[in-house]
Order: sequence, then C-alpha cells, then structure tokens
Amino acid sequence: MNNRKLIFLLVISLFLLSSCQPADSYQGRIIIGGEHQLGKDSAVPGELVVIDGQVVLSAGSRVEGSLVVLGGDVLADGLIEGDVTVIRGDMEFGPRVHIRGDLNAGGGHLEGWQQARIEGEVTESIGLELPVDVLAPNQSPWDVARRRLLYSLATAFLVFITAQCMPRGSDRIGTAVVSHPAVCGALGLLVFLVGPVLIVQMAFTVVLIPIAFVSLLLGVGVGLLGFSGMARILGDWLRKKSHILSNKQAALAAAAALLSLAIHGLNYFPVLGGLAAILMTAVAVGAVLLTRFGTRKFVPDR
Amino acid sequence: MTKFDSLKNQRLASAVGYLLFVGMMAVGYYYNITFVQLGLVDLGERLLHLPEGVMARQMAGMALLTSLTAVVFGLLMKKTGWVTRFRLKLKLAFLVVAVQTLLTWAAPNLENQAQLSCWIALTALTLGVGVPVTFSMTVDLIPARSRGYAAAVITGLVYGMAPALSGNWQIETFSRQMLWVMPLGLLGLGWLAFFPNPFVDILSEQHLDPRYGKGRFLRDGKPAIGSRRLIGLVLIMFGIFFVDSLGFLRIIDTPLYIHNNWLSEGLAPRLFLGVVHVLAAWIAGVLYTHLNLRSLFAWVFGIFALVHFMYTLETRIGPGLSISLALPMLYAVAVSLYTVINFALWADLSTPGTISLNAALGVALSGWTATFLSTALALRWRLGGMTLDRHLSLVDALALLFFIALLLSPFLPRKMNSHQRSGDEQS
Repeated sequence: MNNRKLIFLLVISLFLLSSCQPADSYQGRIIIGGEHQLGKDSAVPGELVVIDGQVVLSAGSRVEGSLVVLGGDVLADGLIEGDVTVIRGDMEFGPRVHIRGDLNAGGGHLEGWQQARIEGEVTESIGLELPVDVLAPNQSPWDVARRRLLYSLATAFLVFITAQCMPRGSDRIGTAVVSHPAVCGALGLLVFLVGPVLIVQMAFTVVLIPIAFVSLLLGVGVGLLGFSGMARILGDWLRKKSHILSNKQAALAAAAALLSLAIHGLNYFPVLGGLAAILMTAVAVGAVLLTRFGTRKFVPDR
Repeated sequence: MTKFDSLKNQRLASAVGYLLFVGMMAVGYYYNITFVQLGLVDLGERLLHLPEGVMARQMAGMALLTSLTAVVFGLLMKKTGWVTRFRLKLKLAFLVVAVQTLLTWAAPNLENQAQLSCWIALTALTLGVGVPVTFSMTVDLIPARSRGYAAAVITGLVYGMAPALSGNWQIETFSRQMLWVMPLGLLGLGWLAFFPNPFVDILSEQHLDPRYGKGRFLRDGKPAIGSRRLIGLVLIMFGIFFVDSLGFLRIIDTPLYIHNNWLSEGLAPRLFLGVVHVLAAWIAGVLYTHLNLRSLFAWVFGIFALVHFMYTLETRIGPGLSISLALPMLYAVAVSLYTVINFALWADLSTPGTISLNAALGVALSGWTATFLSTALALRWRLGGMTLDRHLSLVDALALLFFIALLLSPFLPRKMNSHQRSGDEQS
C-alpha cells in the first residue's frame, strides 16, 4: 500500500466531510432572484446583498449589517444597521426607514431617500458606475480581428511552450485524442458540466475563494496541456505532408498557431462555431485527464 | 438462401432486436418513473384524499412486494431454464404489458383505499415479473460491447422526453400518455411472441454467441451470483438510489426548488433539463464502455455530494443557484449517469443462465428497496420536524461517505486468483 497516497486521500476525505457542517464564517444573505419579504420583528443576521428579484424590508424589520443593491427592486421601510449602497436596480425608501450608516448612491434609481432618516453621510456618486463605452466598447471589425489574432498568437505561444516542456506527456495526450476522441470528449464535457458550478460554489463559501482561483488556473493549464497534445499530433502530420516544415519544432509551432487560430476563428460562426470550439476543448481536457496529465498512456477498460 | 442473405438477415434481426430492447425498456422505465412513482402519489393524495402517511405505507408495500416478486420470479426463471427461452420471455412480457395496460386504464377511476390497495398489489406483481423478464432479454438482444450505448439511448429517450412531456404530475396526464403507447407495444410484442417469425428464431440463438452471452465483468466466464463483486455492486447501487431518493423527496416538497425547473410552467427550463439528461446519458454510455466502474461511481457520488452541499448552503444564505438551473442540471447529470449504469451493469455480470436472478437482485434490492427505505426515512424525518437544512446535510454526508469509500476501495485487500498466488509464491 502506498502510504503517501493513503494519507493524501484521508486528508482530502476529512476536508470534504468538514464541508457538511460549514461554520458560520460569513453572516449574511445573497438574493439572486424571486420575491422576498422581511416581516415585522424579523432580522437578517449580517449583510444583505440583492443581485436580482423583489425584496421588501417591512417596517419593524432589521438588517444587522449593510445593504448592497446590485440589481432588482428593493423597498426598504425598516432599520438598516450598516451602510446602504445602491449600484444598480430600483430602491424605494418607505416613511419609516432608518439607516444607521451612510447612503452611497452609485447608480440605479432611488426614490424617497430625501425623507429617509439617515445617520451617516449621503454620497450621490461613489464612482462605481462604469462609462458605457468601457462595458461595450465600440470597435471596428479590424480592431476585433486584430485583438483576436493577438489572443490566438498568445495562445499558440503558450501551447508551443507547453508542448516543448512536456514532450512525452503531450505525445500521450495527442495519442489519446486521436485514438479515443469520443471518450476524451465525453469526460471533457462531464468536467465542463460540473467544474464551473463547483468553482462558483467554492467562491460562494468565501473561505474557498483562493482554491476557486487556483482551480481556474488549473483549468487553463489543463486546456493548454490538452491543446499541446493536439498540436504535437497535428505537427507530426504537417511534417509528413509538407516539405517546407521538415523541422520538428517549426512544424509544432505551425500546428500550435493553426490550432489556436481555428479555435478563436470558430467563434466567428454563430452557435455551431461556439459548439465546435467547446467540443474541441472538451476533447483536449478529457485527454489530459484520461492520461493523468500526460503521465501514462490511456488504455480503455475492456 | 445464400450466405450473403443469411448474413443480411442476421444483421437485420440484430437491429430489430436492438430496437425492440431499447423501445421496451424506454417505455417501461418511463412508465415506472412517471406513472408509478409520481402518478400514484397524486392519485392517492389528490383524488382519493388519503393522508401522506397512508400513501407512504402503500408505496412502501408496493416496493417490497415488487422486490420480492422480482427475486422469486428471477429464481424461478433460472431454475426452470425459462431464462434462456427467448420466445417464452416475449410471451411473458406480452402478458405483463397486457395486465399493466388494463391497470393503467383503471387507475384514474379508482374510488377508495381498498381499490387502491388491490391495484397496487396487482401492479407490484406485474412489475416484479417484468423486471427479470425484460432485463434478461439483454443477453439475447444487445452485445456486451454495445450495452453502455443501448443504456444511454434508453436513458436519453426517457429523461429527454419526461421533462418535456410532464408539465403537471397528475395521474390522468400520465395515464393518457401511456394509453397511447402501451397498446402499440402490445401489438408489436404479440406479433413477435405468438406468430412464426424468422427474426425471433435468429434472436433466440443470439445468447449462445459469446459476444452476447458473456458479460463484460465476468471473470473466466464464471457466473457471479454470491460473488463479492456482485454484492459490492448491489451495495453501491443501493447507496446511489438511496442518496438520490432521500434527497430528491425533500427537494420536490420545497416549492422554491421545484417550481422554476422540474415543474416550471414554461417549457424552456424543462427542455433544458431534458437536453442535459440526454447529453449526460451519452457521456455515461461512452464512459461506461471505456472506463472502469469505480471512476463512474465516484463521479455519481461526487456530484450528489456537491449538489446536496449546495442546496444546504442555499438554505443558509438564500436562494441562488437553484433558481439559475445549475443545481437541477447537476442533479440531472448524476441521475443520467447512474441510470445508464443500472441498465447495463447486471447483464454484464451475468451469463444467459444467471441474468434473471442477477438482474432481479440488482434492480429489486438496490432500486426498489432503497427507494422504499428512503421514502420511509424521509417521511419519518419530516414528521419528526427535521429542517430542510439538516435533512440535506445528512444526505450530503451520506453521499460523501460513499464517495470516500470508493476512493479508499483500491486499498482494500483483494482475493487473489490462482495465477497471482502462484506468481507470488515463485517470487
């Protein structure tokens, strides 16, 4: 028995089990949608963040922390112990609303705040509103194409470097892609279905934000490794077929560039192009996982 | 007949057999998850005004009777050799479908608890006979290499259609839907079972071909009854059914978590879940065929653990991901994965002589008994005042325990076979 593996598994197990009863590390409530009403004499223990939906804080209710409105409709008529920050959405202040902290009106639509009882300061613009052209810059097709070409070249460079650093690993990954594309694609799609939800959920727990960030980076790494395997196979094929690319590294670089351009270029085709890019990436990711990051050859279970 | 014609007929017969199996299992499973599991509760509680506790007892009785009948009939098929007689199995399937068509027609017209109890007993008996009969046809109709894909098609068809077709979970709707399909199935089965047919003659011999008759997980072609592997797999599948049912029973009782996805008035969320089911079924079919079972089981328990953890978190910080369809989507993925395994697994552990009992043990003990026990436990917890948060936490812990057990299972001591033992002695 491999003791190191066993200890690793036990640590992971204990870590996972501990998540069954999460500690109250963060007090608050995040509302993403639906209708919610906080009745008289009821309280939110901590911050209240409204992302979307309709929220009514009735007279006599209490928010023990701050209220942040990022969207949706909020009618406040109770006591808010902390600050009120409105960035987007509609917020209406009732006649009995009492804010112990500041009112920061960064955006959205506010109604009746002039009559509200506010103990702190009122700031009408907190600089959180982004100009429209930052959110949706008006770019010419040439600018878009140039930007995509730049991304493609950057991706190709990273793929080339990865393939150079892990020649045997990327060989095994490439072989898995060619020999078992359906299994690679299936596993990759399964990861795509589960992975993003897991990462978002880790971020929700606040404590696991660093692990969510590391997982994202790992995801990017897995993608690059998968494409490096594909590029190696494509490079070998190019070398056999073309007299110009007789040099192994030149063929690999050309393959990485072609692959990268193909993936970025697919996004120009609506719906089907995006789906094809997702499928290609899924096959790459699946191959990396099946070969355990390129450390062993994938042999199907018979 | 030339050799070419004979080969062509063989291929055509195999294709007919494939379609027959997929169609029969898909309709049977759709009937089970909609009409029996959801429609029956609606019948008792809405039309007959029976209390929740009474309905839970009726459902439990049904599950136990079905399990018992399946095991007894599976054993009977094995002992009498009916299990290898394909035409007889077709006749039995015809009888099962005929009785169930009548029961489906009668269900919305039941008037009191006594009638319901009789109805449930009859349904349990026919379902109990149906399980070993239909599952044992796998070795006649589907080659071992294609079982994962056939199971994926069945699961995809059922779960792809179920969310799209079932906007309300009422017995009248389910009964109407089934009465469109069942008579057609009855005609098809009757034609194959009672009239001379060259296809049936070819299909009757297919289990003698090792490509059909030898299950993928059989070692040296030996039957697996009583083996550690069979018992272990029954336990794992029991765990999966138990965890799924225990969690889902509480989730569907919480309007916030059900009304904007599985029971949404709009078609789009239900269609989305249907598409996810189909995609996950395809994934499961491919992975079942190429990977070992442990990794697939780990995925299922891992996803269940994640989903219940997320539901638990939502009960504490407010609704979020459940509204965005992320949680129902993950649930759909896990359910599709294990359903595909359940359809393909028992035949892959069996020979043509043992399939009826193995399938009955697998489906009855893991599926029906787990569902019965989890229903009883969920009801007890709810009547005992257990909060949603606590309920889902416990389900989460259970899923994690199974997940961890799977991770640790490679470290368990293994029984060595004679070759390994002699190898060890030499070294």
